[in-house]
Amino acid sequence: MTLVHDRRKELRDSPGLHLLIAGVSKYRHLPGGEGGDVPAENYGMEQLSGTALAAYKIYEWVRDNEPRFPVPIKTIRLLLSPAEDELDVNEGLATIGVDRCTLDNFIREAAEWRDDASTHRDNITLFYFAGHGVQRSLGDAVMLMDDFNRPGGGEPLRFATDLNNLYVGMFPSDNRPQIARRQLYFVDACRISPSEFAKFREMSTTRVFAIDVDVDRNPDDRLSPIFFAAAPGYITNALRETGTIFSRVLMECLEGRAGQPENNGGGTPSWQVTDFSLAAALSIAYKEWKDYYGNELQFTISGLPQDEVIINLEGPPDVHVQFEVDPDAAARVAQIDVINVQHQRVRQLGPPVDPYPYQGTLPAGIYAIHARPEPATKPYIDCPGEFRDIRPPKRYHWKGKMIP
Amino acid sequence: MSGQKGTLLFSLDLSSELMLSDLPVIVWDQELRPVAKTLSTNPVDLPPGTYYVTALMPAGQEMRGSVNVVAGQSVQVRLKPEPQDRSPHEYQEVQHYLGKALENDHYWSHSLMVNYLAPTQLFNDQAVLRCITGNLLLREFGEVPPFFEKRALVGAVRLDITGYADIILLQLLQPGRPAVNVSFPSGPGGKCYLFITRSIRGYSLDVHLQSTTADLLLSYLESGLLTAAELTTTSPAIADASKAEDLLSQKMRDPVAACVGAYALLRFGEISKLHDWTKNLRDWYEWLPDGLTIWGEHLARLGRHAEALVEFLALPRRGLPFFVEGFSYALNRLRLYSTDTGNLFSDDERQQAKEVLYGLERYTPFVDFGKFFLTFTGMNPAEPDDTTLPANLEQYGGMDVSEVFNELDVDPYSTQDRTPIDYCGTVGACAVGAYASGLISVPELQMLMSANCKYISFDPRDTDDEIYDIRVPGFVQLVKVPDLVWKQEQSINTPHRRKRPEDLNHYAPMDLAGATGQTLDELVPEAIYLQPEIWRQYYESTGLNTVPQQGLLPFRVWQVYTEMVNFVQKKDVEHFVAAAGVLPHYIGDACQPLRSSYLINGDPYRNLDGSPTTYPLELGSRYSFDVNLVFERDVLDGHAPDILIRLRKELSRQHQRSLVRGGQEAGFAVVELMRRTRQHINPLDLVNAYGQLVHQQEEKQASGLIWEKYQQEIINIIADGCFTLTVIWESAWFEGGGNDIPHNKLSAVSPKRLKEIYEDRNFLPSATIWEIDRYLL
Repeated sequence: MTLVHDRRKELRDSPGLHLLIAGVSKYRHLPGGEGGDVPAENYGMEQLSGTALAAYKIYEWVRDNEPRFPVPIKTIRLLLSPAEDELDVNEGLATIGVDRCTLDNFIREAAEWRDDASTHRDNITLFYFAGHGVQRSLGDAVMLMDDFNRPGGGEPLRFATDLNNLYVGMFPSDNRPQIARRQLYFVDACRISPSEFAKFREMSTTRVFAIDVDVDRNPDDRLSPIFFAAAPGYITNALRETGTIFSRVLMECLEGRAGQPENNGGGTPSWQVTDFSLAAALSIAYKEWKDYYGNELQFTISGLPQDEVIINLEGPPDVHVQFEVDPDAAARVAQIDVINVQHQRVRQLGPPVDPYPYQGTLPAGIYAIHARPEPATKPYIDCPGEFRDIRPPKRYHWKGKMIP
Repeated sequence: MSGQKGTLLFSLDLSSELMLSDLPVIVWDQELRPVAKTLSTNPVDLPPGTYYVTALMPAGQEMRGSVNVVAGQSVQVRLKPEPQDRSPHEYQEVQHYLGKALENDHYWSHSLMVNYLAPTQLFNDQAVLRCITGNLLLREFGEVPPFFEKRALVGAVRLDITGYADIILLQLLQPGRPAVNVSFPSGPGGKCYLFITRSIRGYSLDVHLQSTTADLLLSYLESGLLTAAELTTTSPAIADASKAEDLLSQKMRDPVAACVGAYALLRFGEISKLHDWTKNLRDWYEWLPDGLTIWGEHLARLGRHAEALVEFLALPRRGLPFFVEGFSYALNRLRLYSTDTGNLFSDDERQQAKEVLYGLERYTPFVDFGKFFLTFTGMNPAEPDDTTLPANLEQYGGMDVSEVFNELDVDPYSTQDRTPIDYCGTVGACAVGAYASGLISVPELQMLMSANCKYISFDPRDTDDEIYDIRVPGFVQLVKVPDLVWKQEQSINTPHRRKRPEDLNHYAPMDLAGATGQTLDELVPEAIYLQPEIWRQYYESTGLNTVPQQGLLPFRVWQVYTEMVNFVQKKDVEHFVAAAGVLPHYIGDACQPLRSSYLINGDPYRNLDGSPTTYPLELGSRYSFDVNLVFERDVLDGHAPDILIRLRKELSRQHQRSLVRGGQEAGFAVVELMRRTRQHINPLDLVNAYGQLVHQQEEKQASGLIWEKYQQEIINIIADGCFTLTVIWESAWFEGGGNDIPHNKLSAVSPKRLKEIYEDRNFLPSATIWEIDRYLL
């Protein structure tokens, strides 16, 4: 089974969201695999942990957040090759029982996914792949399937597919004039070029789609960003038992961190996540991982992105904030007030500010933060704040100077 | 201006050419609605009210300002960066706000003691820059002599390169590394800027375009900040839909900027804005390979694949695209066309596509696709590879890069944030930390400290290379934690940093007479007089009223000692090692003569020319204001190998010292160390000696002359620091009952665990003199 969600009959001819989600952790022909002989050459690749789980969690997130998307979900196709330790930690993954992400399965499901996508130009497609990857050029990524490195000869990348082929195969054309014009691609895989590959003149992959170059000159009018978890030359990382860093950050961004207000002419603004706001939020969230954990991560975007809605938010998203005073010891007598633009105090902390530093969230908006010693305590002084915007994707760090 | 509206103008609190660039800005109203998205050069008419304006820089900093707009009036809002985001120097603004190379490299160079130990093993200073002209795809190329205007920056060199020699590529050669080739899209008569920075990992190149706005656009695209990038494409400086034709009709004042604009519009899929000016790019500029890739991709997006193929097949005549974006378009299209199964292309065309594709695919394993300018490795740029170069580069000719740094007198390691107080000489503290463990006479303690030596500083028994054997990302050796972690500005992502209160722990003005005529030194004749209240009274009476003036180094040692004893009592070996590991930093500071003197930043009562004043001067206006920087960095760090060799001999002599009991005595031991240090090297003599050299315009000689004069004293004070540290370590160990700790716990602590401990804000909290009492119990 692969089609885990199917509302085609119910929604009939109306546009819908069609998803193809694939995740490979267990590679049967890499060391530690279970596919019989493991060739001596493994191109420096090992088994993965967290990628199939990441794909499953993305599936769950999309399913559970359906109302936020501009159109209802019509189909979800899921291909997973999980590792044993992933099955141990996630019951849903262990019980869903979908097909493995072999090359044949992938090609079959991609073809059906494209057929569904071709039924209405207002359809939206979402593609997500997590697994091993290599790269050959900027907008390209080679995705290695479950049976990569299978013995029996042929090209080294015979059991791999090329995102570029998949992407171009989703072109509007005479055969598919009604194909979805809104297409979202997420590739959660490394994009390195193993030195072993340099010795091959061509690194041909197996094509998912036969591309018929369009003689009728159909322009490519899709809005189709490709979000890569790794920039070319970079690797991506997985967290054991929780999925990949990219999937985790992606869901955090879609939850609201990538929210941006839209000026709807009056009243409170509507909030939404767009290609552009998601790209900016992913960049910033990645930088935080790098700052804190030292991971060399580099997100990038390709394809045809636009400031187009991916999902709508119900209201202003929460922004992570941290409030401190200088010096730290002043926290014992400090009172910190959060004032909104109507000059109302919406939060009071302290005295003392405990736990310190204060970490919490505020709905995005305009605020001023004040700190003062309460009661007056030498040598501390009042620290009035100015109104300013507090909005995602950056976390907001305020530090009030309470000494002369 | 509409009668009901006011006009909002923008100004940027920047100093470099960025000040005049078209920076994308967003204006928000009180409800946080984006009421205008525009460029900083465009005035905006708005209804009266309060607005908040932001401008996101490519490197992630945000400039902001707020303003009240009044009907019928023009008002200007000045956008400023947050204080912690400000560029350390105007010369660095372009790199600071547009890129990331500097901060990372400098962090690296600062974080490895090995830099000072064996520079030759780490980083051969040799580097050669060559300029290549010709056509690499036809394998017709050669080297041309460089024509540069050189400019010295802080810690970097900028070369302004004019493209009259048809340079297409810059090649950087460094021993033991592959040659790096960076495309250089200046074009005939155009100009590009090349920033060269150097770190412990070697030299790095950073190419910037003549058009600041095009440069800005590239940086936004690289950073994934697409809203800003899209706004920037509307700048007159970039070829957007309406303005591009004007530019082209003038034969494009800047075709390279037009290329950048075209690549941006292609990336956004805004094909309609390209009109047919991309064809002009192809037709008018034979030297520009990207004219083919842009026009070819444009055609392909329109579904005109047969015509697109013609453009990509013409690529060998012009050469490799300058931009990775164009290189990738060519690769992807040719892969598609060469394997076409339909009837659009003939066998012959498919074969031709394969031939051109082959010429490009030779490069793909060696191209850095993370860059915007085509960058790849290989000594022979027509035959890319990753072969490393030999140690001697003389055979390759070209320009000696280190000579340029020398000629311009640029110190590649200097940065503006390395002010005298912010940055300490590393040799003293690291040497103290490393050698003290060898002096420990308590076997159990020695076992523990030796096991952790390389996590504290460096292990003198190791070869230098082994110092690299620390793989925890972001781990900082403990002796450098006070400087490289705690003293750094906090951010929400790095809450473990402490900045201001930690600054105070690194010095104390022991020799400045207060209102009563007594110095701190005189106020603390014995350990019992080392009391925070006495220091507070002294500071207030002396007029040192601001917290940054109120150094408290001895109390920091008292605090650390107290905690070390507690940790030993709890048999908490991990925390003990962490506390003992940061202590050498403070002891190392205490044995620097200027850190216990009011003269640390020069003489506050003498002008730069030496004439006296009756009031204290600002930091940069003082006689010999950078004396401490010169002493700790140039004299000490500059003679690191000598110091380490001679220190070893000095330490081999037997010294007897009494143990201390209690934190107050430990703090007082440091007061005495400071006192002895100033006896060895009188701070005033140092200030005068350096001031005289400055006056004679011979400050470049300072490092050598001061070392010549004080070398034995320097060895003596650092050795004294080693012994003092040993005494404090041993005393805390005994006082806490360290010998009761089971031997199986006396082993190396993992750096991961140590990092967790020193990033905990409750571990040895940094405090001011007003708050320190609670930590001295």
